[in-house]
Amino acid sequence: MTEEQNNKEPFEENLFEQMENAPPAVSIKRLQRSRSDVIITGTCSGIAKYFDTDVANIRLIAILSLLLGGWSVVAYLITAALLPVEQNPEELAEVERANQRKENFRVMFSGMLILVGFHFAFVQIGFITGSRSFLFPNSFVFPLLSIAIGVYIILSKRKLSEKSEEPLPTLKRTRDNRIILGVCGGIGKYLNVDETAVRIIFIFAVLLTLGLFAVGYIAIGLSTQLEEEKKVETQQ
Amino acid sequence: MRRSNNIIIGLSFLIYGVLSLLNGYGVINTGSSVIIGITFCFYGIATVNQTFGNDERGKLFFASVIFLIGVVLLVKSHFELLDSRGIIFTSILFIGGAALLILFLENFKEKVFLYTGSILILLGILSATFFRNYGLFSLANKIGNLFEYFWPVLLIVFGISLFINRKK
Repeated sequence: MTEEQNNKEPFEENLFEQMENAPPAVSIKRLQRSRSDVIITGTCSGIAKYFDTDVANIRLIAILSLLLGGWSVVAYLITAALLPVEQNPEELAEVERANQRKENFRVMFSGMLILVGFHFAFVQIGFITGSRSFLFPNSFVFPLLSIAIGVYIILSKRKLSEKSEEPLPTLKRTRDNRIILGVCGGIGKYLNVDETAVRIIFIFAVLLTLGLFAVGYIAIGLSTQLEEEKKVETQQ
Repeated sequence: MRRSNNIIIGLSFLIYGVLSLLNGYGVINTGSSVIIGITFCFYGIATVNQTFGNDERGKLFFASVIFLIGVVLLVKSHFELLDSRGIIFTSILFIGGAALLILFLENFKEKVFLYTGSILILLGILSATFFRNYGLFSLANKIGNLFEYFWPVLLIVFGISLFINRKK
C-alpha cells in the first residue's frame, strides 16, 4: 500500500459518515390518496395531508357538501380516480390504528347526524324540497345507496373493532367526568361508549317523558358507589 | 374479531334498500315506518344474539333499544291508535326499562339495573293508565309538538357535540 492510498482512506470514510448523518432531504408535498388513513378511498386524508390540516375537518366538509344536491359525490369519485395513490404509507401500531378507526367512526357518525339535521331543517324552512337527489327521485336514490353501502360493508374485510383484553368495569359513578351525580359518565364507561352521547340521549328521554325518566337516573345514582379516587404517584 | 357484526350491519342496509326499492315500484305495498321497523327488528335480534354474553355491553344495550324501537314502529303502523303521540311517552319508559333489564340479564351482579329497569317499566305502565287521568299527556303533547318542529336542531347540536368531543 502506498503512502498516497493511506492518506486517501480516512478522507473517504469521513465522507461516507457525513452522508449517513446528513439530515434527510425535504420531501416534496404531493397531492395523493392516503393509504394509511382510509375510510372510502383516502382522498380526504390525502387532501388534509397536503394542506397540513386536520382530516376530520375535511371529512366533515365533504359530508356537508352533500347538501348541495349530491353532485359532490361525483366530484369526489373523479378526484379519487385522478389522484395517485401514496407509495410509502405511514406504518401504524395496532393501538394507533384502533384509535384511528374509533375516531373515524365518530367523525362519520357525527357528520351524518349534522347532515341529516341540516337537510330536514332546510326542508322544514322550505330551502329544499327533499324529494330529488341528482336527477332522480329520492325513492330511487336512497334504496340504491343503501344496497350499495350494504354490499360494501359485507364485502369489506376491515374489522370494526377489536375485542379488548382488559377486564370489564363494574358500574360506578364517575368522578372525573361528572356534571350532577356522574351517572351518565359511569354508564358510558360501563358500556364503553361516549359519555357525551349517553348524556344527550338521556336529556332527550327526560324531556320527552316530562322528567319521569330522571327517576331512573336518581335510582342508579343512589344505589351505586362513586369510583375510587386516582392516586397520583409522586417521584421523590 | 367482529367480522360478523359487519355482516349484520351490511344485511340491514340491504334489507332496507331492497324493501324500499320494491315498495317504491309497487311490488309490495307498505309504509316506510314498516320497512324501518323490519330493518330495526332484524338488526336488533341479530346483534343481541351475537353480543349477549360476549362482553359487548354497549352494542347489546343499543341493539336492544333499536329492536324495541322497531317493534314500536311496527305496532304503530299496523294498528290505529287514538293517541299516537302518547305512545312515544310510554314507549321511552318501557324501552329504557327493558334495555336495562337486558343489561341485568347479561351481568347478574349488577342488581341496580334490575331495580332501575323495573322502576322505569312500572312508570311506563302508570303513565299509560294512572297518570293519564291527570292531564300528563296533554302537557307531553305540547312538548312533543315543539320537539317535532325543532328535532333537526337537536340533531345538529348532538352531531356537533360528538364531533367536538371525538378525541376524548
